[in-house]
Amino acid sequence: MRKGFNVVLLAAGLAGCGATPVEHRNYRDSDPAKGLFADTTSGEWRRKDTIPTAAPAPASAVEQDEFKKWRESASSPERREFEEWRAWQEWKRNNPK
Amino acid sequence: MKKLRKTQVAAAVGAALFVAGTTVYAQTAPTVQVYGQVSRALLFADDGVQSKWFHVDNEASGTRFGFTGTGQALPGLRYGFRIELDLQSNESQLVNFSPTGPVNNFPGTTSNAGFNERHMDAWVEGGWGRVNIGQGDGASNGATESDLSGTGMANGIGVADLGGGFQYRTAPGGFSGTTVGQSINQQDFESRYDRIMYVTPTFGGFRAQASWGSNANLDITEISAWYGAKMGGLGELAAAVGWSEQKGSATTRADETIGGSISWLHGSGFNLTYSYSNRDNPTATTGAARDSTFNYIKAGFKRGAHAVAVDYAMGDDFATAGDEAKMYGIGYVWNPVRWLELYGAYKIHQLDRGATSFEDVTIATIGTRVRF
Repeated sequence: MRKGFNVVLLAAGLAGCGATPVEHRNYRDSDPAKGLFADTTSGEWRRKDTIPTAAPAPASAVEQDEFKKWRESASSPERREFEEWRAWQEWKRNNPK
Repeated sequence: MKKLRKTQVAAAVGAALFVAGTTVYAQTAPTVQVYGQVSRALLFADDGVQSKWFHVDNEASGTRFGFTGTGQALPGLRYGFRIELDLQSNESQLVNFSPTGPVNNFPGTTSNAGFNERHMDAWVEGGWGRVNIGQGDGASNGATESDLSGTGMANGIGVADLGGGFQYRTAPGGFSGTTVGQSINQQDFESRYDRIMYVTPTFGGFRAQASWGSNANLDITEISAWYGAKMGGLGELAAAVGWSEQKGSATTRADETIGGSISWLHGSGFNLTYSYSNRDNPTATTGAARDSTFNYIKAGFKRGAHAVAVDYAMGDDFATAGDEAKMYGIGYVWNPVRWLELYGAYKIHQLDRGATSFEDVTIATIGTRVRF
């Protein structure tokens, strides 16, 4: 019986030459790839530093306009005078007499 | 996009943990995944005197959960781990009838909640193959269980998984002292234990494995060869052969097992499976040495979500020399989605022992396995 089995196995192996290799799983195994959550929810964790960051979304026209106004005001004499005054106030608060 | 990536990562984790060989994965991020399953069934047993429905956990593939992880240590060198515990209540191969009535309270104590270690395994792999170290499958574990029928949960090659704890009754109705599981089983080598294992790369569908380890303070050595391929119009083939030896002790003989299995699935859905094993038995130094032999054949049909199969098994010289055990079965599995199986099975176990006559043990089961 054992010899016959070996012959059958050898014949099957030879018949399979040139075939596409496939990895079979034992029916007893729990295959993580076949789980309910395998590809739908967070069944896994990954290191945060390896998660690719998403490309920044383009700014809307309104946002671009607001940014333009802020940048123009930042370089104005009034804005610079205000920021110097605020820095002086901050220094005085941190250095009381 | 996110969903697609998770699919790829999940597939890579599963493949990296269980696939031998030289596969190089493009995915490099370390990953950890939790997985598991609930495997419950209703089992009806009739030993010719008593009959009863039992709530059981199917031993073919029991309730369990685990964690897997994988990552790339260096270019071409991957590492990973697998932790898996089972948590079975009323294992289907343990429930039985006793002189005082049905016994269906496993585990009998709740102090350990029924947890059992299955895998505590670390591995590293590259183009040269893979090395595992820790508790896990021995090199030959599963080599007698190649089965492409899709009916493993209902009538798998582990013929004693469902109802293996029931004793045969003598004709007058007494207990024989021999259970179904003692009269026939697939003798699938040494299961899981602490070992170091080497797996070769896959060559044309072939790979080899060798492991060395220890279980119950006894050294174990196992060697096996595996084959799996799709052969175009000829269908799909899975096959394996294995050998194992557990060293003897002061009270036990060396336990040597040889066996294998082959399963063929045609494109039409028709499938055939055969399994064979031979083992030194008993392993105790007392009593006459003898070999126990297992033969199993299954014919089935699988189409879409449905799989049905009939099977027949013979076990010679298991419990005592001259014993002849037989099993006839039929099973059906409905697998509508990849994570759900619903099944039903019916089988009859018979035992012949010289002039002694035993009652048949009949087992019917309906159950489900839900994987997450």
